[in-house]
Amino acid sequence: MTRLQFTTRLLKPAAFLAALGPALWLALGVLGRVDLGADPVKTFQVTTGLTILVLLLVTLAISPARKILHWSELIRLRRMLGVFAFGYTLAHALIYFILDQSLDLALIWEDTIKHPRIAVGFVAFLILIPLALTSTDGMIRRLGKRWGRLHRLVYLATALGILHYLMVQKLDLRDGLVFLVVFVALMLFRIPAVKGQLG
Amino acid sequence: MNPAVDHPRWSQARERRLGEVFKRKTLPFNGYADEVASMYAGMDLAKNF
Repeated sequence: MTRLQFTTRLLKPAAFLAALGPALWLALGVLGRVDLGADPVKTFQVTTGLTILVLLLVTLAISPARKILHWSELIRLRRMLGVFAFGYTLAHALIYFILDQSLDLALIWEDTIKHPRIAVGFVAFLILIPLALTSTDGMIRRLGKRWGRLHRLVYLATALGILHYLMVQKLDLRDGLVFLVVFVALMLFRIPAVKGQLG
Repeated sequence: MNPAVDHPRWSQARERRLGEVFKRKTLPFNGYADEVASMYAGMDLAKNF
C-alpha cells in the first residue's frame, strides 16, 4: 500500500469517524442511550464547542505536519476536517439561537452587545461561513490565488474561538490556555523564517 | 430573584428549567411573589437581585 493509499483509504475514513464521534455521542444522548447530564443543552454546547476548537487546531496542524513528516498527502484530510468544524459550529450557533434565545432577534442582539464573550463567538461564526461556502472544488478553482488569502481567515476565526472559550469559562482557564498554547505553536510554523528551517 | 435586573454575566429574564429544552420567562420572586414579596419589603431589589 502506497502512502497515498494509506492516507486516503485508511487514515481519512478513520479521521471521518473520529470527527463524527462527538455528534454520534450527542445523538445517542438525544435518543436516551447515553446520559447527557442534568443540563443536556449545556452538554451539547460544551461538546460541540470543544470539538470545533480541536478540529480547527487539527486543520491548522496539517500543513506543518506535511512538512515535518514529509507527508504531503495529509492535505487530503484538511478540507473534510474543516467542513466538520463548520458543521459543529453551525450546530453550536443554532442551539444558541434556537434553544437559548428562541430565535428572538432582539434578545440575540441584546445578549451580543451586552456580553463580549457572545460577540466574540458570533464574529468567529460569521467568519467561518464564507470559508465553508468556498470549500468546494468549483469555488477553489474560481477563486484561484484569492482562495488562499480568504482562507487565512481561519487563523482569526480560531483565535476568536479560543478567546470565546476563555471568556465563557469563569475561573478554570486551564483547557482554554492549552488550546491557546497549541494555537500559538502552530502559528509559529507560519513565520517565514521558521517555515524555511523545516525544509 | 429579580428578572428585571441582569446578573453581571447573564440576563436573569429567562430560565431553562431542568428537563426542559426551551427557556421560559422568569417570574419575579421565582413566581412566589404573593407569598414572599412582603419579606423583602424595604430592600433595594435592583441591588439585591
